Amino acid sequence: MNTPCTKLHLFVDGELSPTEADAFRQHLTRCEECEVGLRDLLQLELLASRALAGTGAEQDDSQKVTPLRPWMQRAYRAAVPVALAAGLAAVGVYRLQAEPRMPSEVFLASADTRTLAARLSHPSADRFRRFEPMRGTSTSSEALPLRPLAELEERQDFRGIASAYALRGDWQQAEAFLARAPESADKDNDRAVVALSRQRWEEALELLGGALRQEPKHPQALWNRGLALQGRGLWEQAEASFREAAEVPGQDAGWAEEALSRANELKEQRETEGARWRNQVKESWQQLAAGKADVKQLAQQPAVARAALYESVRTATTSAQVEALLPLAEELDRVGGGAVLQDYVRDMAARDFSARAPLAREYAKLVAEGKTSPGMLETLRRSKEWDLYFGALVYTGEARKDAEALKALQRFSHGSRDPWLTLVVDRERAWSEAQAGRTDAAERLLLATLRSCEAYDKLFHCAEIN
Amino acid sequence: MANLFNRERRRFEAFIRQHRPGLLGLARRLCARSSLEPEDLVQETFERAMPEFEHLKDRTDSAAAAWLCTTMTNRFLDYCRRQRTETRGLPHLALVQDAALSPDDSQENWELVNTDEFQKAIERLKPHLRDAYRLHAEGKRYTAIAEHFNVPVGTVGSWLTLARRDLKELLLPQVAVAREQGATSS
Repeated sequence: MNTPCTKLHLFVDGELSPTEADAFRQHLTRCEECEVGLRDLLQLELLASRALAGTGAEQDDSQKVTPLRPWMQRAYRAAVPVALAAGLAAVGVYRLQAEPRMPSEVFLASADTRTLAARLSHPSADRFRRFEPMRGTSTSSEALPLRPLAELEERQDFRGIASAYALRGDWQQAEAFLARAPESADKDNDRAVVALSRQRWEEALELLGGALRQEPKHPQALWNRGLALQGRGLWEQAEASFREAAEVPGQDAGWAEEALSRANELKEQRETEGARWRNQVKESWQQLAAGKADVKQLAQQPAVARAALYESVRTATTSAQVEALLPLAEELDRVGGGAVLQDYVRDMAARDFSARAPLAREYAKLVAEGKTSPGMLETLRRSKEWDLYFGALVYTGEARKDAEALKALQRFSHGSRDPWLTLVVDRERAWSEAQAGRTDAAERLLLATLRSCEAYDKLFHCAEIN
Repeated sequence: MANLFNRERRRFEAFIRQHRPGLLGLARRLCARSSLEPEDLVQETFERAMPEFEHLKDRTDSAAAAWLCTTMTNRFLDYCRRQRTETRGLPHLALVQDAALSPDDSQENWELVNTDEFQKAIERLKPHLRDAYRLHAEGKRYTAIAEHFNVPVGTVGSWLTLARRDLKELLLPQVAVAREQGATSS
């Protein structure tokens, strides 16, 4: 029964995973039976949407509109949203009196759940309802009542019109109307919602940064920033943004509750992922320590192997233990290009272990137990074991608080010529910016670091940039 | 002459407003997480409708909707074929013909059914099938419908399949007749 043909209904209902949907689209081109089935199914679904959602209502404006600008020439693609927009204006011209109250269906007020994860700035579109994701993309197919929209246009409330379209997932129309709205934090926020709908996370972040510069406590912008950061994989920042959104007074209690629950979920996810990563590293590290590691196999996961290599070198207490790591360093250098890891291993093997061994044990304790003994950082700083000092500063988060320590990290990473260490230092710099309250600069730096990290393909564990 | 032109244009705009939401709803489901933008698919459909509007404007809503649906499906299938040939580096195969040139059986059947008939047909479904289909038509996902009825997600899938089969038989009796004939002759 599990032939592709059995998936037709699931496909049309948006219930397949992206990969399955892709496979089904391919199958469709070869299977006549499914093609016929698809045609029938879509006809039925369209009829159902016309019959049940009442899309036939309120359409008889055709005799009342005034002429529009010429639009039937080229550039038709761009012209239709504009033409529709202009058409609304024309409906408005013929109204004799403006009704002050908007019918609630413009903003889907009668719905008891919402389908849009993001928040729009228009007060009527920002009433809290429980979030329930819909199939395909997040939208309602409820028809737009045109008359009230025309009224909104007469009042030049373009954000209002854009919101009504956005709530129905008609992003092209939403964008066309937002372009006509005057500049404001609210407009930037709503444009970011359009960018979010297209998964353009960085564009959304740019717009939201602009909105928050104008209004640092803009509740919707903080919320949407959380979504964009989450989409971009910066979970810790996303969590912080949701927590900040939760604290803005004067909004529906539901928003604060959902912001907190989103923040908590992100925290949990991050901790689970972090623990999983640390476990992987620990396992490889233990294999290396026991001398049982298969170098080729380890290097198939270069990011894990690299992290395990650093820890193995740092916690080794004899020169021989360090030298034993050379084959892995060579293999990883082969994958990544260059010779930074081999150089590092050779340098460390040549150290005086009567001085290094006790410090390596201290470092191992720090990693195992998560706490420093008094004076440890100071001892490491005075020692020549820069890699242990580096590891300890990152591990304790000290570099984020102490400008001198951060400078030391920069010196070490520069000296090592190891790109991963440079990325780690950039992350620490971003965090120190964040702690100094410069979230804008922190976010820019993190995004740039993340992009550099991703450019190395799978060489590094970029989630650690977060 | 200019007035005539303007009147036509206004009628075409009204036509777009009437049919766009429904088509967009379908397009979103077809394009979900593909590189094809649903809005583009709908846009292309109306581009095809413009030169045909002279014929379309005087037909019933149902006939116009069925025409648009077929046209959009053709555009979508074209896209799937292009994707396939592009990913495999094959030359483009012959693309699907426009609906106006070759109306298929499906379209001809559905042109005759209007929304009132649909309302009557859905009332005749078994209650759980009817309610499940209504929730689905509101845009609810399988998981939400399953939660509503407290049944497994797989059950929702088969209910919807049954609901659609029954609706089709109620709405397109000739299809049912043909099926019965097929069953007796085999």
